[in-house]
Amino acid sequence: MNRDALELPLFEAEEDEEVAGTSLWQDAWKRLRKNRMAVASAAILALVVLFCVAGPWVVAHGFDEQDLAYGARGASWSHWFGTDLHGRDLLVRTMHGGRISLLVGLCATAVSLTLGVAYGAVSGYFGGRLDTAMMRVVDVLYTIPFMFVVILFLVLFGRSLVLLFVALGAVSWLTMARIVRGQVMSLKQSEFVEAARASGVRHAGIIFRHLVPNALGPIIVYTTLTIPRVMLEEAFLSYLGLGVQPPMASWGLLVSDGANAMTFFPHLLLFPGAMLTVTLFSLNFLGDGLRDALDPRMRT
Amino acid sequence: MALTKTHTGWNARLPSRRREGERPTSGWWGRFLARPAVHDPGKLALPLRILLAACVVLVMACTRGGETFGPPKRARTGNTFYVGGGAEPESIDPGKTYDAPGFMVSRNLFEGLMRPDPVTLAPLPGVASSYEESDDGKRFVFHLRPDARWSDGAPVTAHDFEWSWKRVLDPATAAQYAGLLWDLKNGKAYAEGRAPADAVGVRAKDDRTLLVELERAVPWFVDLLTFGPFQPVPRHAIERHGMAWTRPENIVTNGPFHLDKWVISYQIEIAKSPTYWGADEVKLDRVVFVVSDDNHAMMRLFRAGELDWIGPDVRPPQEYLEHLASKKDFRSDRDLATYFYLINLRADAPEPLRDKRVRKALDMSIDKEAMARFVMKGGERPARTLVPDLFVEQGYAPPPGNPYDPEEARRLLREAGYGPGGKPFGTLEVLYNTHDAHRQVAEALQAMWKRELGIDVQLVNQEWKVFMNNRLEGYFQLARAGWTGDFQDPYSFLSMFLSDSEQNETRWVNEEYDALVREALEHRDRAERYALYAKAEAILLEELPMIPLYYYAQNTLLGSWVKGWHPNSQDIHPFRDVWLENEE
Amino acid sequence: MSRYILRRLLGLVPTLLVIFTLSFLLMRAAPGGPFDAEKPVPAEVKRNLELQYHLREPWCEARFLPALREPGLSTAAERAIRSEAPWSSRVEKLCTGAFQYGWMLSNYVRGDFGPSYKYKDRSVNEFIASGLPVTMQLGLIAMCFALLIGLGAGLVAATKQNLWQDHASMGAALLGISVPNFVLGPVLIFVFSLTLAWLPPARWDGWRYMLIPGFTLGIAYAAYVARLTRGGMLEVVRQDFIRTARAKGLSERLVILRHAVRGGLLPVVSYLGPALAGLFTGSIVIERIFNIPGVGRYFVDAALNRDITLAMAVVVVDAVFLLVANLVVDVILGLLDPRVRYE
Repeated sequence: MNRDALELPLFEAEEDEEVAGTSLWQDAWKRLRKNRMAVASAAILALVVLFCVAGPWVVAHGFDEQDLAYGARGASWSHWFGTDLHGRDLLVRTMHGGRISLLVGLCATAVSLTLGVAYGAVSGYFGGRLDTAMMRVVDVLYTIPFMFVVILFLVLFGRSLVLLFVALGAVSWLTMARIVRGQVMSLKQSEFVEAARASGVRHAGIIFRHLVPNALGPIIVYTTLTIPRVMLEEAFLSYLGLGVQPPMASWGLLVSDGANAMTFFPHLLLFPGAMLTVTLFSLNFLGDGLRDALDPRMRT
Repeated sequence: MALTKTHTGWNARLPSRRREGERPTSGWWGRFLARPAVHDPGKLALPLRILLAACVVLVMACTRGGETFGPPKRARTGNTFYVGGGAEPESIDPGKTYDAPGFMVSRNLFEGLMRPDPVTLAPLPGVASSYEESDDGKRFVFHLRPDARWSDGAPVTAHDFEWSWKRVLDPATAAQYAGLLWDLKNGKAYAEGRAPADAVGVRAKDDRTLLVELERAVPWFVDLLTFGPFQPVPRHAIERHGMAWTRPENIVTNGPFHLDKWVISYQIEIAKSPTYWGADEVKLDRVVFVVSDDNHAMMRLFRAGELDWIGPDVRPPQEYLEHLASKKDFRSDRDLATYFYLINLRADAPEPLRDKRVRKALDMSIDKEAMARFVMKGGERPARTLVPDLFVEQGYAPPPGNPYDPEEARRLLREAGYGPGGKPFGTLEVLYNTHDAHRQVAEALQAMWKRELGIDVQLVNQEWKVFMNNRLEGYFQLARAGWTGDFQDPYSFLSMFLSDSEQNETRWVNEEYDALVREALEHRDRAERYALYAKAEAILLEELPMIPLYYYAQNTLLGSWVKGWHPNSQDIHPFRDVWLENEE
Repeated sequence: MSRYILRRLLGLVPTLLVIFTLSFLLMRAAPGGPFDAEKPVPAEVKRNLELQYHLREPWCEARFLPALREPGLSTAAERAIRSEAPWSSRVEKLCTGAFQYGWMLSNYVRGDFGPSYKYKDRSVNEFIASGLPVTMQLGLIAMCFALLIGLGAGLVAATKQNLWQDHASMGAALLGISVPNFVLGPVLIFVFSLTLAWLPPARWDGWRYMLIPGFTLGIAYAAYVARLTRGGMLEVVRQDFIRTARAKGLSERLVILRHAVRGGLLPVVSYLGPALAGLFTGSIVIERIFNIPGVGRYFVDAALNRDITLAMAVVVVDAVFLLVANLVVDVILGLLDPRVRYE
């Protein structure tokens, strides 16, 4: 018998299509790539971000150039999205609006993320009475109709962008806290945590360098789903006149102006509305895709 | 599973998707190309198809022509008039009302000694069937008609008028328009607590006769009697119900209509009053005031045929005016009102604004023509003076005011020490109350001042109440203002800037101006009065505590089936004289 | 079960207290007040009104800042007195605030929400009494749309899993979540009201007025319901008892309608709680767009007009409503789902 045939093959990781040990991430990544709609959504999102960030440099018109005599006109060759009531080019304004909307979405989500992860991780890690107390607080806060309080806040204390980030972030951190707490609680008995504790790593280090990174899956999914929610809430507040203030534009503000003028100028509503919808749709789809990709249940 | 040998050993390989004869591709792109060409065609096509269809419908729907903006014929049936009422009135108590929506309602619920002619606004006999005036114009005797009644059947007497007028003057009532009654003898003194109520120059001689004495002759006094603060209020209802007397279940009125229903912030319904002396002349059964501060929503309601008239407090937004100009149900008339910006001249005002040349520079660098035409777009006329152009037809010769001259403006600025190389100007703060139209004007000013004078302007907008409070207290640098004439005399406008006037929020003081305006009041001859007014206004336009921008236009949408409605300078249209031509 | 309900009801109290306190603090911290009138009000009148609204407490003034007790002080004079003694002024404000808190709390417990700051002759109760039924009507109609469309779409998607109907439904559902209601509303108004003239564009005067707003408000929730129904049904369909039912020879239709749908209903029922919360929040914008006299619109107007008592009352009423609704939903869930057991 040929000795080669009896030799057990060695399994090593290679780059191409060989069966190698896959990690959670690679599995998830593969699954995600297979989900064509999610990939398409990601591509659309990338396009939208490119459109908003790089677009204004390409378009000839300025974002604030008024031409009152020209007024609002529909789409034309010189103004692809038409102009708004002040004669400003809607394409550029949509791009700038997109920048602000995306910025607000990201920043507020970052606030929500930071707050939620920190809170949930601490609560889940320490457990016991601290956990019960912290979760009771979350339960109570959950019942507060946040939007109302945010509206009151913005009306009473002025409308600054920073306040907007904080207010919007404060609305959505609760669920993140719960998710992270759940993850941390199920992970904290793992061996690697014990090992870390044994080697003398302090609590903070264990939480933030070991537990949280391992709970990243649901965190990522939830973050991707929070961004569209926060963007929607910002648009909602801007629609009421409480969010971003002119001369800055956000999609919510553009939609608000457009909705008012729609009797004669429906393009003012349709273009920013469509952009907002497409972005939210893609984000939601991507979030769904990520959830499907990272969901352990699918592995069975 | 096939085994292949690599340099590190044996490794299992998954069966490759590549088949014999196919293009060798690998990686992401290869997989993309290699996917089966025929996939489920209906997978996402359906939502896309629905979306596409919806888009087509939308695009088709984007144009709707027609001769009228609203429906060509009345869409509703019945004899109820639907009118846009503007914002929720704070009060419909005629003595306390101060906002236009409140006046519109109370004007139809109550009637004073005189009532306005629907065409000319000249005073017609109301509760008073006749009156006599003394030669010096200081004393009047009014004879009340015997069939004037309250809605609960009690007769309207001269005692009601005496009580009501004194109530307006009473400081405890805190009536906003009490100033109009200061012309009564001892009126101001009583309002300031220096004289007893009995000393006020209004007295009921008997149930049917009212004697009035004025401090000095006021040429437009009888015109004023059609106005809210001079209307009677039911003493018995007020004493019984206190502040809640204007509720539908408590209210007692003497006008052509009585209050039927009031849903807060939504609508107010009034019905024809059977006890009104002129009930035969009232043709409408009911009037519904649709309350909303959203002008665009009102426009949509009118377009759908839900409203017969969008109302005097709903201005079609500027952006529509070009399209509306050709529609048959659109009307544009001149209004007795001016839009201007106040400049704070109090002690804590910013230094640049205290220099007259700077103020002039600000005034002269505004292209008011362009603003009226391209920002307002509604038939507003650019304003160089405070007093509206309507008075010119009555013989008023206004001073020329400051022309549009950016070069001169820059020169003045340099002369004052600002401008390039000069003292730093700082950022000017412009305050306005939250509203689209005001925002557009403010933004236009911001752009113009930046372009012509290089001045940075910061825009601040606040809700009406906060804004008014800040203006009152002097927390502003430049603030937007508008003023409608309460009566047909330039005094109504010029009196705002008297040094002791409560409306003088700029706190500008000029003794010569005060003297001229006060002297004008002494003259009963209109030509003489107007000449003095012109001199006073010249001072006003030289010192510029305010910058005039434009004279308002009354732009409104009125269904062609509404009859008895006539345009006039104060936009007052009593519903007693209106009727509807229904599609029968 | 009844002990659970009792426990939950008792748990409402601290939550409501927190909400009340939070709103109260916001109200006190806010600049401006009810008497920012256009023309100056005489000092005595102003003082009397402030006493009425408990914005002034004689006991606190006497104890901490007696200079304020002088009659006929103007606003400027008061401000001067306060700036001269900043610490006393702060303590006095705290004291007045405490008294006002106590007064308002005792009123709220009795169901009296106090007078409105803006409409001085009206009480907040009137606004709530007239606006709450309207908002509830709107919410009910939206919920009907949501359930009918959502359950239907979810059912179709689950039964035709992975076919085009499934993808179409779920795509439409995702679209429903992504299109904001303040975009959809105006678009629907534009098409159905301004162009086709089938339905009125605003107001709330009859059943025809309820269709567009109800649909606009409900469609996002229809989307969530559809997804949940589909998910729930798919989960149930995989289980053994369905296989048993099929093996027994039950028709597919009965299998679906009698067994699978119940599985799909459970997540929908548990979603009703957050859905109601969302409906309340969504009604703010919908009522604004369509000029509907409900509490959502009153709230925004109150916030913008600084009518703080009204705004506070709406927040508290909304919270009460949601807490009770959540409790009801949980009870129903307990009844429907045998796996859930309450102690």
